[in-house]
Amino acid sequence: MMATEPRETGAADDVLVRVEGLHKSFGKLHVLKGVDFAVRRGEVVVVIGPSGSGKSTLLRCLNFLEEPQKGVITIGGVSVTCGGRGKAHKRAVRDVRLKCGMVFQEFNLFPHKSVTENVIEAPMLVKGLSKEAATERAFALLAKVGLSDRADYFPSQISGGQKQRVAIARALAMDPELMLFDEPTSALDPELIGEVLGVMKDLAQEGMTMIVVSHEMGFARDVADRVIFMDGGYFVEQGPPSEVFFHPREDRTRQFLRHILPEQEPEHAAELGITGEAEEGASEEEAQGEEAAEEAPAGGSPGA
Amino acid sequence: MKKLVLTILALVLVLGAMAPAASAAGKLPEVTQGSPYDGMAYEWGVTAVQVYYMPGSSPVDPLKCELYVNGERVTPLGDPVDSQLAQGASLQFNLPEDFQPPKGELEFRAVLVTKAGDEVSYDWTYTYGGQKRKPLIDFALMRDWFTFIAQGALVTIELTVLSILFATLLALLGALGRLSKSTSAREAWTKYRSWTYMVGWVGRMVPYGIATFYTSLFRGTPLLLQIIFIYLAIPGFNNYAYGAWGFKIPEPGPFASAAVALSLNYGAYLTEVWRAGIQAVPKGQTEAAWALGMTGMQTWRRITLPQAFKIVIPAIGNDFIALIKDTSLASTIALPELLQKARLVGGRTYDFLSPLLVAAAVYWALTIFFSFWQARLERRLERDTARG
Amino acid sequence: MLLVPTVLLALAFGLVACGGDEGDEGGTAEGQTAAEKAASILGHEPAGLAKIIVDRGYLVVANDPNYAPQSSINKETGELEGFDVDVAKLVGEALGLEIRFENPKWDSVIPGLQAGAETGSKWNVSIGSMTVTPDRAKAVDFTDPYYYAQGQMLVRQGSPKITTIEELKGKTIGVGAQTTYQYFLDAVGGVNIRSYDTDLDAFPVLENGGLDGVMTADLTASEAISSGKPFELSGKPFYYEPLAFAIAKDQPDLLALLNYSIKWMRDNGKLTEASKKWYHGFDVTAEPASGVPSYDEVMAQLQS
Repeated sequence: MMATEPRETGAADDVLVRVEGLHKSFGKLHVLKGVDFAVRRGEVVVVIGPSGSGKSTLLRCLNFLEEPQKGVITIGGVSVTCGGRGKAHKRAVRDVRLKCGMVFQEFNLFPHKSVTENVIEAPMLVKGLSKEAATERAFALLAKVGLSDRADYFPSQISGGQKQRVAIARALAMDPELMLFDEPTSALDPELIGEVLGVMKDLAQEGMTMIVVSHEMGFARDVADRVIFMDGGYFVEQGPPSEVFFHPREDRTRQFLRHILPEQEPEHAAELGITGEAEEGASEEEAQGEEAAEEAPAGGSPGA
Repeated sequence: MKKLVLTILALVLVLGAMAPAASAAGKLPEVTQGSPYDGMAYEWGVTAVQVYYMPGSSPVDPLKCELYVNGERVTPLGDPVDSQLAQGASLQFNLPEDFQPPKGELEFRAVLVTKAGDEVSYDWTYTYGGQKRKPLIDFALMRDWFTFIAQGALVTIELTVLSILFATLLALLGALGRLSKSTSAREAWTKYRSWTYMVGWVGRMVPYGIATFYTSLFRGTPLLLQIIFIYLAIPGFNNYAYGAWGFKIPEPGPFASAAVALSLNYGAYLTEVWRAGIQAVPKGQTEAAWALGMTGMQTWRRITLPQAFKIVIPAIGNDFIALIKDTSLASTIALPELLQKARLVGGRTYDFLSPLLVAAAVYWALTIFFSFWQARLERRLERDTARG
Repeated sequence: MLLVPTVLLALAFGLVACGGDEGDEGGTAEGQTAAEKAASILGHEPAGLAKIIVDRGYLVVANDPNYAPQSSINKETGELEGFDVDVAKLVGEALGLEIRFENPKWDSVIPGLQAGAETGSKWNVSIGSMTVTPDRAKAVDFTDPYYYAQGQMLVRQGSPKITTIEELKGKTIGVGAQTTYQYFLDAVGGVNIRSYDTDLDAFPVLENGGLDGVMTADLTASEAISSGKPFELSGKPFYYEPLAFAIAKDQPDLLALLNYSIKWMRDNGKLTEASKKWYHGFDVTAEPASGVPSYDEVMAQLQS
């Protein structure tokens, strides 16, 4: 069992992200059912949960790629009451977006621009940086993610792991206070996952505040200050990785971990008395679509 | 005795000289022109010789009339045909199939004989080029008229380039309109249940409605109709507006009419192309741009549009080539473009085959030329897409 | 319904097109402007369409260059030439106006005249051998006739002639669309009429035996024969037809000006000169006195 590495996280009350009563539904589908949480400056939060649990939606709500219906989101002092309209609301949303950098599962690099152009586009366009200044910064960031030699390549010419590292550099170029990672390694071949996680770890070491939706247990265990298990639109359980992964209090968490742990952490699974073979049927259940998962009774919700 | 003989001779001569005048009551047919003549509107086809004349008191008897070429009597094919014209008449000698005069200056003589037996002869010359029958494909004609027809190609190209330019811009606007509707009214209501949202929704439906109406109308009516409509309907509208309200709008001539119709029509088709192209840009691209703090306009200009453009370029290229050919419809409103010019030559020479072949060749050359550049452009873009 | 969007685009193109119209012609050889000349001919200031035309100094003439010897294009220059072309130029000379030619399709000549009635757009006058008919006179106003032609049947060499109504029945006859020949054959009834864009389009069909005859003007027909078409005139015409300029209705000043120009070229012999030049030395400008009925007489007879 490993403890979280001690790390400077700033003052305990230095809250960067605060979310209150967040509701999001797609038509009849109620995905987030009143989420409250806060993230301290420098904290690394890993969100896990079955597909359809709302973890990706939560992340996308934070920078308003999805507009929540209800709730208040405060990031770095900018507060947005959801469901608003008009110019002021739009400006606030953009301010929030400028505080967040986001890394997507599918990278979403701009295919018509080279690696460098991908990185300098937003700083020049949004922040009004000169091309020289933006390029200088881009080279520094590309060096940081280990891609100095790929600066003039186009996205289609580099590997998935490299693309994701460019995406991280691109997000960092805007000097965000918060980094959002939406399953950053899910679309990668297994041998490429390491290089991306490495960059993310480095970032965490430097004190970047991060919210990561990922099932990479190793990463969570090594880097996360806190793990949140989401299901059915609620936070079912949260705490340090050691507790959530190895001493889950909730049945629903335990059930979920039965699918995840045997694959990724066989020795710990054995410790918990979980074996892979016994859970074949449940795996299929987990693989069902978003709707199906959503329709499932929220049996694991707190207080059940 | 000698005196008597002289007197009789003189009397015979006088009587002889008086005889035709007496029998025709003073008026003989008067030939005004013989065809073929130099400077004819068309080449002589060696199928007939015509004599134009003003009839005299006694009608001409076609069966007795004679035709000589270079002093030799020509036996016409069938009976000569006498036709009454608005003024005067024409006597037509059809020539036999095997009639072949020598090349060079021909001396014609026609002898018109009236029912009363009077004879009037008429001589004329014509420089004959030696061509008995027009060849099926008349290369001489093609050579003579090539410049005249090819001048139409300039109009065709101008029309094509201008139309595709305006069509592309129109299509972009049309596509934005078509894309402005995201949900049905029912969905929008069940999703947001907000009256203010619904007002905004209705506002977004307006460009959608206009664009949908536009594409439907211009894809649903023939291009030919649109060209003729614009050419003739706007003046009609003006005519009314000028009388009723005292103003008029600028009126398109043949070129502008064709350009407007082609732009609108191809704009409607390209609207769907642009719409598909814009939709083909993955949503993640927009999200990534938003997440980086770009505004809607910045995202549109720097991220979505360039990617959509790459997608639609081949379709625009294809339409460009189709448009080259569709400009020929402007010949119906007498725009002097390629086809119209070829038809004019056909009307002028009674030979449609050769000028139309010239026009076809020029169209073909144009499309090959543009296809070649399109292929090159696409290869280049493909390379870019492979890179990007 | 097409109007709304087209008007907008027409504005853009129309402005361009209009730019070219602004010529500063209109002066005559004597230094008298077309407007002054018109005023002296009329005895008062011209009004309506006449005013628009003399003020701008040019007259737009509709003319179809598909009918030699009335109008065709010159082989060397590509310019228009022919009797109608000469007459139009004489009109310009008489009135001190520049002459501009438009070459619309025959069936859009009258719509174009009507369209420009108020604004002077399109073409202002048809100098294109248009027969005066009562039906057309409902749509346009005619000047005095400037020459006369006859409706004749053109047949293949050696084919039976067609000179009577009885001989017409059951025959397949080609005509130019919207010509008096078409109206005449319609009135005869029982004729299989094929109408073409121009009379000329019917000639190849006649040559190949697809038609029993083509009805057209006598002199158009004889031009075809001269050029080597293996045809014959049928000999006896069906009717003679007065040919006149046509203008939009209710433009008395323009009509008076044009009638003046016709009288002018008749009196000074230039009209006859033109006729003799193009029509085999004939003066076709005088009314035929040959006992052939006029078009009106024939039509009245057929309709009774």
